[in-house]
Amino acid sequence: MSDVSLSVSEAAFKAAFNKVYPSISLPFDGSTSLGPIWIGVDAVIHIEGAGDIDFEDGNTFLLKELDIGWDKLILRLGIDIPTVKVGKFCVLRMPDDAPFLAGECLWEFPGGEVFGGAPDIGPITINLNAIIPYVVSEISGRYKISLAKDGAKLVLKADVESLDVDPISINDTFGKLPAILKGAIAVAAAQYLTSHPPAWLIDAALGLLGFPSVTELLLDLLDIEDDVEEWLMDVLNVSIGIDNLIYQAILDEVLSKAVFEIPDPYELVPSVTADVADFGGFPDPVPPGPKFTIKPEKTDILNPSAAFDADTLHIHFDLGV
Amino acid sequence: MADLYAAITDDAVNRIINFVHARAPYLFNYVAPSVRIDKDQSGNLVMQDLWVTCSPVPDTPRGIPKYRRIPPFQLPGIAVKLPCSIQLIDLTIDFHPGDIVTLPAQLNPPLAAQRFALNAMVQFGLACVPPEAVRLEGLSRYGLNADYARRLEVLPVDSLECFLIQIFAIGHLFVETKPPTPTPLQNIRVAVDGLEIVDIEPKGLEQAVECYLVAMLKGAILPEIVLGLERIPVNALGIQAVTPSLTPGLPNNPAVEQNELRVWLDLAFS
Repeated sequence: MSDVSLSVSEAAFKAAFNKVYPSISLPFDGSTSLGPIWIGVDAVIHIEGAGDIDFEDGNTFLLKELDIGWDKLILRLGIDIPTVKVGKFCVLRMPDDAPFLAGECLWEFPGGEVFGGAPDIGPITINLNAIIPYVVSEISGRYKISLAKDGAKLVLKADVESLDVDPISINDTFGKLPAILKGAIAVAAAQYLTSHPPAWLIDAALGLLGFPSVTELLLDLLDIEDDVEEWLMDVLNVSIGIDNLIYQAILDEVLSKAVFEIPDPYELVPSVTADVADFGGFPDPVPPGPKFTIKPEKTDILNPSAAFDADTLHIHFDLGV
Repeated sequence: MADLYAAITDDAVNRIINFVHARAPYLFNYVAPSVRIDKDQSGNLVMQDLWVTCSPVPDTPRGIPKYRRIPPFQLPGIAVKLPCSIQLIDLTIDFHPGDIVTLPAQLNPPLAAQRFALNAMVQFGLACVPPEAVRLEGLSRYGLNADYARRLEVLPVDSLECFLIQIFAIGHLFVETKPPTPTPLQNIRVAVDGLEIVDIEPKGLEQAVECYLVAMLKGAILPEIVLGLERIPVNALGIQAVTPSLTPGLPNNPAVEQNELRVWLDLAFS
């Protein structure tokens, strides 16, 4: 029989877990290149708590639902439009039956390149905070508990054994996303046109490419069609792998915290501040007084163990006295 | 189902007592010191505390005192107060079922359910008053004139008359609930069910001392003792911002059973 036994119910463990793990912010970012497109995400989430916890026999528990909240979701796009070479052509030619210079080209465009930058447009910063309420994240995991000495504490940590982060889904019921995304791209296109004259040359290039506007060209390059939600989910989940970024952010956070912290050495007699005159038999030197502080008496914790059974976490330890 | 359950064995409690006895002897040795009368360099008499006990107390680490001061003993008709000491030499606790402390017949063994037994060896020491010291004038034997004798707060002695008594007690825990402010305040307290002092003769003296001790325990000491059984388990786990309360609806909470002191708690997280 151990000197001290402590048992914690599932409900109390969940409450303690939810006291410890909610975090102020877990920032993460990631990016990828898809041919001419560069996509980056810059996000901040926080852990809100455990929706449901199930103890398993042994030293693992199942966290069926880890609630996270989104604090920031920024999408960044860089677009390298394929260079368009426009050859020489005559802008103004004399008619063939003219009395002089018949059929001669009076103004010849010398030819040139359009969209020669790298990237040509971007990075476009698209603030998606407005759709945060519609981002659904489902995270569950199996955690393994362990008791380990950490300085003057014996800490019970929940180490991630497996963490399942489902691809996020976006249910933009108010349809904000298309306007945000297409609006940002239209603004980027307009800025490009402003800073890259002449417009007629770009129009010429667009004519060659078969697009009526830069915006349409960008939307085509980004492969954004009618279902903008589907496109964004595909970008975040497949291209960026946002589930892995969330996984890593949570993993780092979970590893840094402890559910329970047992003082070790354990205090048996607390520190006391008292009048020197009320005590006697001091070894030399006698405290100068009038007050002095008696240090606490502590003992080591020995043979600690922690394990689950059914609905209870059992912690046992002996005292080194 | 309770949120948190905590238990400690009587074996662990007794080892803690022994550990603290050695490391913090001021919790076990209560002394009304005598005085040592010396002369300073100018030839003036100076008085210093002289901590006289019956049993020696081992040296302590720096900053740890051996004794806690108590007031000197005052007897009617004696002009000067008397040094004394009370030393808790040994203390053993036994949670039901009783398998550590052998109870005397007067306490109706075996130990009843949900009860604890206690065996304490207490050593008392009292200064003997020389007949001539009963009056202040007699204190000249200590080299004091009448003025100094009047300033003498306690009889100067370097030894005490000592005697040991062995005390057995049985008791239980109970919960005192006070009106809500804003929630009911639950105090876990100790009650004494019986007390027996071994081998004091004549019997009338034993009964008088027992009566006095029980009255002192019930009237003065135990009302001051509130066991922090609700807070200790919470602190042991380092749980912050939580209000523990005893889980209701259990037959015994706290319980003294199977050699353990047990408590079941509900936790209100804020």
